[in-house]
Amino acid sequence: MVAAGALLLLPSLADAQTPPRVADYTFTATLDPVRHTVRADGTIRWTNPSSVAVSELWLHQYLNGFSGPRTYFMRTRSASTWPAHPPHWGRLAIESLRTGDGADLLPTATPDPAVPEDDSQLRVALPRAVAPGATIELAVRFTATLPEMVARTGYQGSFHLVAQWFPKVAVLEPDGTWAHFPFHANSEFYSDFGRYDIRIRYPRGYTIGATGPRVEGPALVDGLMEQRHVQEGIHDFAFTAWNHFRRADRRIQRVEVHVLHPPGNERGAARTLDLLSGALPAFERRFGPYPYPVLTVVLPPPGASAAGGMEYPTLITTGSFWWGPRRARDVEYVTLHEFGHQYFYGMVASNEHRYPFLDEGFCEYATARVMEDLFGRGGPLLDLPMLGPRLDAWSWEALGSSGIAHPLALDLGADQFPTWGRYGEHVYSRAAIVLRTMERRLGTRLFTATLRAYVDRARFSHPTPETFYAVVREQLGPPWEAFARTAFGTPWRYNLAVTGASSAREPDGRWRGYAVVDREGPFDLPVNVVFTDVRGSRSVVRIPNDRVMTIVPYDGSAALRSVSVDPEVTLPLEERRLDNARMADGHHAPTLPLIGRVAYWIAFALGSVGP
Amino acid sequence: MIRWISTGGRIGVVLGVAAIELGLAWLLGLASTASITETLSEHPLGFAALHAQGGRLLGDVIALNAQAWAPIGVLLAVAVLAWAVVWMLLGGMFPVLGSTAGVRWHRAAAESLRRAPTLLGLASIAGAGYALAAFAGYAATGWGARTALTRFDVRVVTLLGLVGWILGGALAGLITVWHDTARAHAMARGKTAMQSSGAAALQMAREPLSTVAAGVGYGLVAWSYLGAAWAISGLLDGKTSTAALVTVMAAQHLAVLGRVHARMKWFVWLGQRVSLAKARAE
Repeated sequence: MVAAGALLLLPSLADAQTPPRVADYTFTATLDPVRHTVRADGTIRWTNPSSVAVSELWLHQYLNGFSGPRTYFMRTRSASTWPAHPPHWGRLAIESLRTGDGADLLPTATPDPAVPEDDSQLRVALPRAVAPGATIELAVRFTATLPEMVARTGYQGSFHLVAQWFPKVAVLEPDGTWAHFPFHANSEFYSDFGRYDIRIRYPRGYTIGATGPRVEGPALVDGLMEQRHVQEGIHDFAFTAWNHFRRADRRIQRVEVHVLHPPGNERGAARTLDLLSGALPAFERRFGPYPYPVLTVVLPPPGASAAGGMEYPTLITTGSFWWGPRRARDVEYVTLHEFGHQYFYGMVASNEHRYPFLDEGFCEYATARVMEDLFGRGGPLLDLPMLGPRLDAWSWEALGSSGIAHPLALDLGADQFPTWGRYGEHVYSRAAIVLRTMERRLGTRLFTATLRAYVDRARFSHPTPETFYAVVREQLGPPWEAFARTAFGTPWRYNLAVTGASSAREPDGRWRGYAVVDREGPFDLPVNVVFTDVRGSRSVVRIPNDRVMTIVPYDGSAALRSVSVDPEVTLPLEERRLDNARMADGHHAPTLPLIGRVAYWIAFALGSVGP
Repeated sequence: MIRWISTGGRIGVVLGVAAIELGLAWLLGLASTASITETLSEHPLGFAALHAQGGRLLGDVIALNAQAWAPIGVLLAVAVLAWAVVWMLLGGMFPVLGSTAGVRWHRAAAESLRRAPTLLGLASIAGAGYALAAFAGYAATGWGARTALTRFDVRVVTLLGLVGWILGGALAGLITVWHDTARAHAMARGKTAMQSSGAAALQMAREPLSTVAAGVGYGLVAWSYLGAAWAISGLLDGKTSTAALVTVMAAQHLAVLGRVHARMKWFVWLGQRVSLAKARAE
C-alpha cells in the first residue's frame, strides 16, 4: 500500500502552486459490468469560492444527456457525429442527497425549467445559505446506468468507459453566478478543482484504468476487487474497465505512464509510449510542468471507437490501428491532442461551454507545435512518399480554417455554433491558426514565452479570454492585444493575393514593372514581396500592407518572371496561399507532369476494364 | 504449335492498343485537369506547388476546383464505360489472332465485330458474376464485422474485416479468368454465349491449375509492371528535376505498355489452347 498523500501532486508543483479545493468528492463506486451500472455512495464537500452567500447548488448530471431521444444533448447532436439513439439508454439516478445534519434535499431539487425534457442539470435548494469561504458537505447515493457506447461514454460488450457518472457541482463564479448549463452536443464541461478520493469495486478478472494514482489495492473485499484512486488538483474523474485489457507501462521522467490496450495492439502501445517519451518533456518545456504522478492512455477495443479521442484528468482515450504505418501520424496527433488537454482543460480550466476555443483551440495549437518539435518542420502528419504529397499539421489546421464560408467570432459559446462542423472549424482550426500566426510573426521563442506566461497565470484557475488578452498586452504590447481581440472576438476573412505582375524593358536597358497585392480582411501587418527575374535573381520589398490594394514597383536588370507575397508564411491564417504567388504576364510555369500523372492513373482505370 | 502473327505484327498490335489506351488517357487527362493546370500555370512552382508548403497549396487547389470534381468524375466514368465496350470487342479479337496462323489483325477485328452479340452476352453474364462477387464480399464483411465483436485480439478482428475483400476479390479474379476463357471459346471455336460459358467452366474444372494458374500468372506479370511504376514514382515523389519527371513518366508509360502486352499474351495463349483442344478433338 502507498500512502495517499505522497502521490497527490508532484513536489515541484506542490511547492510552486497549490490548486484550490472547491469541490471534493469521496465515493465508493461498484461497477456491475453485466448490468452496466455503477452504484455509488459517498460525500461531496463544497466550499463557496465566491464573494456572495448562496442558498442553492447546481449539480450537473450529464449522464442524463443519454437518457432518451429528447434530451438536450440528443436534440442538439449532429447526425454525422453521434447516433440518433444508442441501443441502450443511460441514466444517472440520485437516490439520496442529504446535508451533513440529515436534511433531505431531493424533494425540492428540480431540473432547470428553462430546458424542457432535459434533466442534465439539477437545482438543489439548501436549507441554509453557504457564506463565502464556508463549506457544506452532502451525503449522496446514486446509480449510474451506462448507455451503450456513445460520445465517449458507456459500454461496448464488457468494455466500460465510465465518464460523467456522478453528480458534479457546477462552477460558482467569483461574482456569485452559477455557470450551469445543460449537456449540449457541441459542448464539453466546466467544473471546480478539488480532491477526488474514489474506491472502485469490480468483479475479478477486470483491469481498471482511472484518473489519478492508485493508492490502495487491488485487493479482494467481500467477493469483489477493490482499488482506491486519490488525486488533488483535478476537476473530473473517469475510469475504464475491461476484462481483456493488456497493459504496457513506462516511467517517463517522474510520471508513471500506463497504456491499456486490446490484445494484439502491443505495437500501438509501444508507439504511444515512444511518443509520450518525447512529448511529455516537450510539453513541459513549452507549457510548464505536468504536475500529476500518473497518466493513463486507453486504446479502446474493436467496436468501441466512439470511446476514443477524449480527455479526462490524467486519463485520455485515443485510438490506434495495430498495422498503421509509422509515418501516418494520426495516432500521434490524437494522443498529443488529448495529452495537451491536460494543460488546456486540465490545469488551465477554462469554461469549455462558454469559451470552447480556449481549450480546444489552444490545445490544437499545442498539438501541432509539439508535432513540429518531435517530427520536424511543419509537423508531418501524413508523410508516406509512395502515396502522394506530404500533409503537415500546420497545413491541416490552416486548411481547416480556410474552408470557413461564413465566419463567426471564435469566442462564441459551444451552443452558439449552428453545427458540429462549424464549431470544429472555428474552435479547433481557426483558433489554432491564429495562435500560429502570432508565433510566426513574433518568433517561436517570444510567443512560447507569452503562452507560458498565460499558462502560469491561469494554472489551476478558470481563465477567460480577458486573462489571455491581459497577458498578451503585458508581454507583447497593445497592438498584439488588439490583434488577438480582433482575431478571437470578431468574425473575419483574411487573404493576400498577387493579382497582377508585369515588367517591360525601358530605353535605359532596365526592366521596370509592378506587382499588385490585394488584401482582404482586417490585419494590416507588414509583409515581404519577393520579385524573381528570369535569371533567378530575387529582390525583396517590405510593404506596410495597410491598404486593400498595394502597387509595388519593380526595377531590375532582367525581365520579371514571378512575384510572391509573404513567401515566409508569416500569415498562415490566410484563406488561400495559392494566390500569394503569380507568374508575370507572358510567363507560365510547367504543368505537363501533372497531366502526365493524371493520364497514367486514367490509363490505370481504363486498364481495369480493358487490356 | 500454332504461332500467332509475326513478331513485328505482334509488337505493332501491342503498341497500337497501348497507344490507343494512353492516347485516350492523355485526352481525358488534358480535359480533366484543364482548370487545375490553368491555376498552376500561373503559380511560379507550377506542378511542384502540389508538393509545397506541407500540402497547403494542394488543399487550396482542391478547394478552388471544388465545382469541377463532379463533372470530371462523370466524364471519367463515361470514358471508362465506353472503353469497356471497346475492349469487349478487342478482347474477342486476340483469341482469333492466337488461334489461327496468318490471320491478319483486321480480319480478326471484323470477326470480333461480327460476334459482338455473343461477346455482349458473355460480358453480361460476367457483369452479373461481378455483382454476385460484390454481394458475397459485402455479406462476408458483415459476417466478419459481427464475428469481430466477439473477438478481442485486434489482429484477428482486422483479418475478419478483410474476409469480404478477400472473398470478393478472389471471386472477381475467377470470374475474369472464366470470362476470358469463354471469349476464347466463343471466338476460336465459334460457340454461342451459353455454349462457351459452359465450355469455359468445364475447362476451368478439368484443368484448374493450368487455366486458373495461367490467368493468375499473367495477371501478376501485368500488375508487377504497375507495381514497379508505382515504386519508381513513389521514390521520386516530390522531386521536380527534369530527370525525375521524365523517369516517372517513362516508367508509368512503359508500365501501361507492359500490362497491355501481358494481357494480350494471355488472350493469345487462351486462343491457342482452345484451338489445340479443338484440333485434338477433331
